[in-house]
Formats: sequence, structure tokens, C-alpha cells
Amino acid sequence: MRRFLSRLRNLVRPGHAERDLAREIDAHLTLIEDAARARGMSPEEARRAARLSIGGIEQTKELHRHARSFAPLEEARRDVVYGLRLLKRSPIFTLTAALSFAIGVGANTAIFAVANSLIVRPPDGVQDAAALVDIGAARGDGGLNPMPYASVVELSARASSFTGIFAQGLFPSVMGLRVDDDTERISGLRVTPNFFKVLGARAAAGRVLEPGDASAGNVVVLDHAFWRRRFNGDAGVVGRGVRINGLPMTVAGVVDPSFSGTGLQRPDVWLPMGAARSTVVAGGRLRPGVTIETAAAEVTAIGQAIDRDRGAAHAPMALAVLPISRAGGNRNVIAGFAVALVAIVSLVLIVACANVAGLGLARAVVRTPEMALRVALGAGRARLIRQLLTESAVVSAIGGLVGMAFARAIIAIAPALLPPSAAPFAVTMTIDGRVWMFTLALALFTALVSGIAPAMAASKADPLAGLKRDTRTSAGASRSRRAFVIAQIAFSVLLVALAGEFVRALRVAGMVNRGFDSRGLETASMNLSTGGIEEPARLGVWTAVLDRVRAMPGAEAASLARVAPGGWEGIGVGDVTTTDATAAASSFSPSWNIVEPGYFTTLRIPLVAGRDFTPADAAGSPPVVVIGETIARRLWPGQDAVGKSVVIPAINPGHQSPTRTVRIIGVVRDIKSTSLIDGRAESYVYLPLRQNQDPGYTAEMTIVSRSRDGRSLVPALADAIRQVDPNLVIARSGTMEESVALGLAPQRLVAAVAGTLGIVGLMLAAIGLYGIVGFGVAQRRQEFGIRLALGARPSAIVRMVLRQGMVLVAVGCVTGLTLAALVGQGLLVFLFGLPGVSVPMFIGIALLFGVVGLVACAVPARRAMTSQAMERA
Amino acid sequence: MPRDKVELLQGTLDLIVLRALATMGPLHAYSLAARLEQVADHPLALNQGTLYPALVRLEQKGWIKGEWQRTENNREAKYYAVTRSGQRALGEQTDRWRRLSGLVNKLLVKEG
Repeated sequence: MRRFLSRLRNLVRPGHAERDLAREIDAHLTLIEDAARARGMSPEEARRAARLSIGGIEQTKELHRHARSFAPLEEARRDVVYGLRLLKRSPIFTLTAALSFAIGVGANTAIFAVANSLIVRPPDGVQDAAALVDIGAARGDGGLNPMPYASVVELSARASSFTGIFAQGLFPSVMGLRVDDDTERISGLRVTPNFFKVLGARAAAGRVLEPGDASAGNVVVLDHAFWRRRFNGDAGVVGRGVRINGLPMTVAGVVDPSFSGTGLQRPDVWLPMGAARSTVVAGGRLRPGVTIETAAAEVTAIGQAIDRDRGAAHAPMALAVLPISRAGGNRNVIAGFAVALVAIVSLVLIVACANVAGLGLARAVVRTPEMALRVALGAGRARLIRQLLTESAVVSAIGGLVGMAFARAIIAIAPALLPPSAAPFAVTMTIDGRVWMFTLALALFTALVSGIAPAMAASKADPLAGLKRDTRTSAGASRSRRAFVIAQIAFSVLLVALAGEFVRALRVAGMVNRGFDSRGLETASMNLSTGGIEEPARLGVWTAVLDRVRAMPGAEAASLARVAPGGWEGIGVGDVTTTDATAAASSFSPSWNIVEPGYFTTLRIPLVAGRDFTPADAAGSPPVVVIGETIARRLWPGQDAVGKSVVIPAINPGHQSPTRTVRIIGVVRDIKSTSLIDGRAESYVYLPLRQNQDPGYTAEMTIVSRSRDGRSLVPALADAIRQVDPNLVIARSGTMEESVALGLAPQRLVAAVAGTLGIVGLMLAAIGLYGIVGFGVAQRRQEFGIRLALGARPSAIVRMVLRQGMVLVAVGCVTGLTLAALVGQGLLVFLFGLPGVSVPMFIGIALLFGVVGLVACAVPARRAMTSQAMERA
Repeated sequence: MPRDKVELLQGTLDLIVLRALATMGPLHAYSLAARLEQVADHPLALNQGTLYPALVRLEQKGWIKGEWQRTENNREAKYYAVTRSGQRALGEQTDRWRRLSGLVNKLLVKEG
């Protein structure tokens, strides 16, 4: 303690000790010189002799400083060197342990890095990002919803906390870009003209949007990557005229390559936002000296004022402010998701720790003599534990570094896991200081968790017992070693089972069979009201558009639908009822749709019975419907529903459409459309557009088209629509895959992660098992050799080794599957409405682990066969 | 370093210095070095400079205490004296060393 205090004093006041030292050495030299001169040396000789005998003044000072300084540092350095040397001597252990850590740490780091990039780091290519904020309507989870454009305008006029407030569309949308006579599909994002100025994003060529562009409205700014791709980086494109969605535009400039917008998706072009925008994503730059709290308070107050002005008829909308991030208002959703992922990935890290701890325990037994000698030589137990922990820290440091490399690789391929969307992923995943800190903490954690048990075990060495060279009798250590292997297998089984459950969930959710073929399908929604087209002209416009789409050479099939699959919308009409006495039930509550002929062939929905609509099924002809097979089966089980009649309710009472009795002309397969999450198939009643007497529903329809060659039809479609009526524009367009995949993105990601981790866990368990069994064999080679020498058959030895390994596998499997069943019953059923435990899957997992376990044991078992009686363990 | 020199086991120098100071009374580093060479009657691998870490360690443990004084020739020097806790420690450490060297000896004989 005293020594510690004195060292502490030296740390605080190094000068005093240093001066004292110099004085003492001077004195010492003088004394030696005196003695030398007394023996008759010249003063010079005496000085030389003095210096020689003290062994160098600087070295002496260094030794002195060393003794004064903190010895633990020096000890740690020695431990690290010693640890490295030890690890070099047991490369299998080192590789296994480091690889286990690398996988666990790498996966966790990757998730942290992604979350960090999405919810903490500001967008790239902006100036003074600390002053930038997201603004929106507060919602329950602490995030923000998009806000009305009108409120942005009001906020800009009233708030004094900001130097500027900008707004942008919710997502980039698909647009048709026409250069000369070539039209292609691009993604465009509409932003307020001050967008770039407020963010501080610069132009690489030409200029960015400027506040004056609001009224002109006919300029476009190109994304740098898009400019390189589409225009080969030709600066001459600035000032050129292009058409976007048919409207003439001038290229104002190209934005700096570092800038990729503020959201998750990177648009190809930015266009000025018209004033007609309804809901927007907003942000702003704080005035210098204004804190985010002050700004938030002001925004909230103005929001309340806006709510009051709008009156009681509107739901109040509390405005709020958050630091800017890629995830914007959804940051808490993403954070929650990341936490869930980290929880899953941490299972892998636990497996890795168990792996290393198990191996470490095994080594602890071997090292008993070494430890005993150290204790005999006076090393304290704390000192031994510190040394052993340093060794595991060395392993986890190696693992951490390799894990960081893994994480980089994972991050590099991560965007490919995302569902396809209109615009490429904008966020550059960055490994910054925060990520390094996280990884460091993780590595320390693993070192401690995996090292403490072996360190405690090894440091318990009894100097006398331990020196007896017998390394095979520590029952306690081998028990806990087996426990670690079992735990490891159990957790890996749990991971694989979880992955299986998620894949099953997705299967149930309709990923595999949705009842229609989404590949190559595109949708384009349009609202005729925006073109001022009212009844009775609508049907004519729709059929004219559809005729043109069908005439396009690239279109294999096309049709129209009121409700296209994959979205979340639907039209609520009511129940179908039957007056038929042979019906099993009198009514059914279906989903409703209004379609044109060819809808089923376009989506490849199989026709089970009867026929599709034809153009002849028009106003004036007998009213008909096509129904889904579940409705048919429910109402007329075992009978042919075609030809039967149902009564459909008044579709839109406001327009006085009467109740009608209609004849069923066809039955089609059910599809999974809007309720992809719960995975239930929906049974639709399809009404023909041409017989629809309701004006309320058909202003907005979706054109569904299947491309012949995979090339997007949207640009040509935009042209076709313009030819029908130049005032019409596509409201939304995209591929069917996009709309379907977006809804399932979280499940897909979880399934992918859990699946990958399950495989990783399996690998880890195999490595661990191999390590433990191999180690056991190495320990018992002498014993095996004696057995063999005494006439034991090699196969008996192999069987013995295999049996001992496989017992561990069996216990681990049973434990893991029990855990999985519990988790499955609780969590997954709750989340996905899954049917409980899948027995075939569990049997499959048990078989898988059995086979892998057998392989992992087989190699050491073979080695056991070659044991020699005389070799030393 | 010549072969016939003996390198001291780590930790033993402290004990030797403590013993020398206890026997001789307060000494400065130079006279301590001279004393050790004299007693060892064998070329020790000992630069006089290597005494300093031992002195620092002992002083930090509170087993010895250094004080600036004048030599007979009126040179200034730092004299080190054993403290009371140093006396106690010397007994304990000597015991410990005897046990340890006995054990090491036994081991060397047995294993050899």
C-alpha cells in the first residue's frame, strides 16, 4: 500500500524523485572517483572507471525509473509476451478460440456498425452536421412521423431557432427520364429548393437547387453516381434539356459525390417540390448558439399553435425535433430492431465464450504443474489469475481484430440483403471510433467471461499435489469442461432451431407461395381526378390506357385492379349472401376487388373453374363475378359454384348503387395479398370494372403489367398515359416484388441473420467438440497406448472415444431443443401466429448435430487408434 | 556477460541488500556495492547501478529509509538504514527463501 502511494506520488510529482536520483548518482560517482584516485588514478581515469562500474548513468536512471513506475504495466507486457509464446505453442487452441471470438465479435460489431450508421451518424456530405435536426410529428415510440407541408411553411415563417427549414418527399419515387428519344426508369426525390443550401451540400458541376427554383420548378439536380453512370460524367450535361415524367426539365447541376441525401435511399435526381405536396419529411439547421432543446421547445409550441388554428376537426399533431440521422423518425424502430438482433447474435458470442472457456479449462489441467511451480516460487493467486486472464485477453484481442475484418465483410454485403427498392441504399456503413470502442468492450467482455473459469481452475494449483505430474485426475475440471461443451451445443441447437422457426414463419407468411407470381410484375397507380376526369369518362380513359399498355412490345400481359396485391389497402364492401337453398352457409365476408379482364392471367392466378371476365361482361349484360375458392368451398362444399348466384351489397351507399344479384362465372385460387404478415390467404370477390356502376371507387386504379424481358415498362407506360391525356401522371409505381418485399423486410432480415448465425453456431459447436474430444484423446494417448499394447482392439478405442463425445452431443441437443420448444411456444407463437413445435424440424436438427458431432469426434478418435504406450502425454 | 558470473534470481537482490544493511548499519549505494562484492567473494553480475531499483523497491515498501548525510571525506551521500518493519520483513523473507530454496533443491535433485 505504502509502495503504491509512493508510486502514485511519483506519478503526480515525477520531478522531485528525478532530481533526487540525479543528485544521488552524482554523489555515487564522486565517491567511486575518490576511491579510484586514492588508488592513484588520474582524475580522467577515475571518472571513466566510476562511470564503468555504475554501468551507465542513463541505464541506471532508467532502472530506477522503472522500479519507481507502475509495475503492473510491465507485468502485463511480460504476460502478453509470455501468452503469445504459449499460444504459438498450441496453435489449434489459439485458432479455435480466436475464430470463435472473431465470429461472435464480428457479427455483433457488424450489427452495431449498421445501427450506428443508421441512427447515430449524420448523413455524409453535409456541413456542420451537429446543427442539423429532423423535424416531424411526434409519435408514441419517440420517433417522428412525416408532417404536412403546410405546417413546414408555417414553421419556417414563425420559428426563430433555425437558419433554414427544408422538406423532402417520403421516398424517392420511380420516374421516367427521357433524354433525346431514350426513356428510362429512374428514381427521383422532390425537395424544397433550399434543401441543399440548408444542409450545406455542394455541387460538383453546375449548381444545386436554389431558393429561386421554387417558381421556375423546371430544373433537376443529378446524383453524382447517377451522372457518372448515365452520362459518363460528362460536364456538358449541365444546362441540357431532359424530360422527367413527360415534363421538360433543365439539368442545373450535379451534386458532390460525398452527398447521398439524408434518408436511407439514394435518388438518381432531385427535383424542386411543388407547393401541392401534402405530407413531407422535414428538417432544419439550428441557428448558431441555439441548443436542440430550445429548438424543440419552440417547435413544440408552434406545433400546438398550428393545432389550435386548425381547430378541433383535425387530430392534433405534436411537432418535435431530433438530431439528424439516416433513419430519421424511425430511429427507435431501428434501434429496437438492432437490440433484438444483438440479442440473437449474442447467443453466438456466448457459444464462442463457452467454446473458449471449455478449451481453456482443458488447458488448465495440462498446466497444473506449471501453475504449481509458480505458486511454489511465490506467485500469488491473484497474480496467476491476472496472468491467465492476460492470456485470454490476448486470444480475444486476436479474435477481436479478425472479428473486425469479419464485420467489414458483413457490412459490405449487408445492403444486398435488403429488399429491392426504387433507389439504391444511400448509407455508407462506417467503422468509426464508436464502433471500435464497442468492439474493444466486447473483446474485453469475452476475455473475462471465457477466461475467468479456466483462470480460477488453473490458479487453484496445489504446489505439492500439482507437481506430481499427474494431469488426468481433476474430476471437477473435466466436469465443468463437459458442461461447457453441452452448453455450447445446446445454444447452437437453439440458434439453428430459432432460424428454422423464422424460416417457417416466412414460409407461412407467404414468401414461398403467395398464390400469384410477383416476378416481373410492375404496378403503376394513377388517380384520374388529378387529370380532372370524372364519370362517365373514366372507363373510356382506363380502357384506352390499358389498350396502349397491352400494345407495348415489351408487355406480356396487363390489366387493371382496384386493389393490387402487396399493398395494405383494400376496399370494404360487406358480406356476400346467398339465397341458394343448397348453400352450406348463407353469407361470407370476403375481400373485394374490381378488375379488368386478364387480371388473373397477368398475375398468374390459376383459374380453378369457369372463366375469366371478357370485354363482353359490360354494362347492360348480365352482372357477373369471379370468386375465390375458399368462398366457393364455404358456401357450396363439394359443389360447382360456377353458375350459382350471390347477392352483393350496395357498394357505395352514397351513390345509391343498389343491391345486386350476380352470377358466378369463375372460381380462382386464393392469394395472399394484404395480410402477408399473418400469412392467411384471402378469398376475393372480383367485380368487373366494366359492370361497376359505382363512380366512387374507380377514380384510382392500378395498372398491373408483366414485362416480357424483365425490362421496366414504367417509362413507356408513362408515355402511353401521356398520349392518352397529357395531364395524367403516375402517382406511384414500382415492381410487385418491392411492394411485397417491403412489408416482409424485418422478418426476412431476422430469418437471414438467425439462419446465418445458426450455421455459425453449428460450426462453432463442431470446432468446440472437436477441440474437447481431441484434447481428451491427447490427454489419454498413453492410456490408449497401454490398452492397445494389452490387446484392446483399435475399434474398441474408437467406439469409446465416440461414445464419450456423442453423449455430450445428445445431452446438448436435448437441452437445446427443449429451450427452442420453450422459446418457440412463447415468443414466436406470440409474434407470428406459428403452430408450436415442428417435430420434423427438431428431428432434422438433432440429426444434423449428430452427424456433425460424429465427424468432429471421428478425427480425434482415429488419432487415438495410433497411440503408443510409451509416449508422454 | 562472462559465463562464470552468477546472475541473481529476481527478487533475491532485495533480500541481499536488506540483509547487508541490517548487518552493517546505514550505508550509501557505493559502500553497499563494495560490501556486497566483498561478502560475495565471487564476481557478481552486478553493476552498481542495478542496486538502485532494489533500493527504490525497498524504500517504497517502507523497509528501508534513505537520508542525505556527509561522508567522512565530507562528500554528500544518501545513506540507507533498515526500518523497524524492514527488520521484521527480513526475518519473514529469510524464512521464505529458505523454504523455497529447499523445495527447489529437492525438485532439482529428484527430477535430475
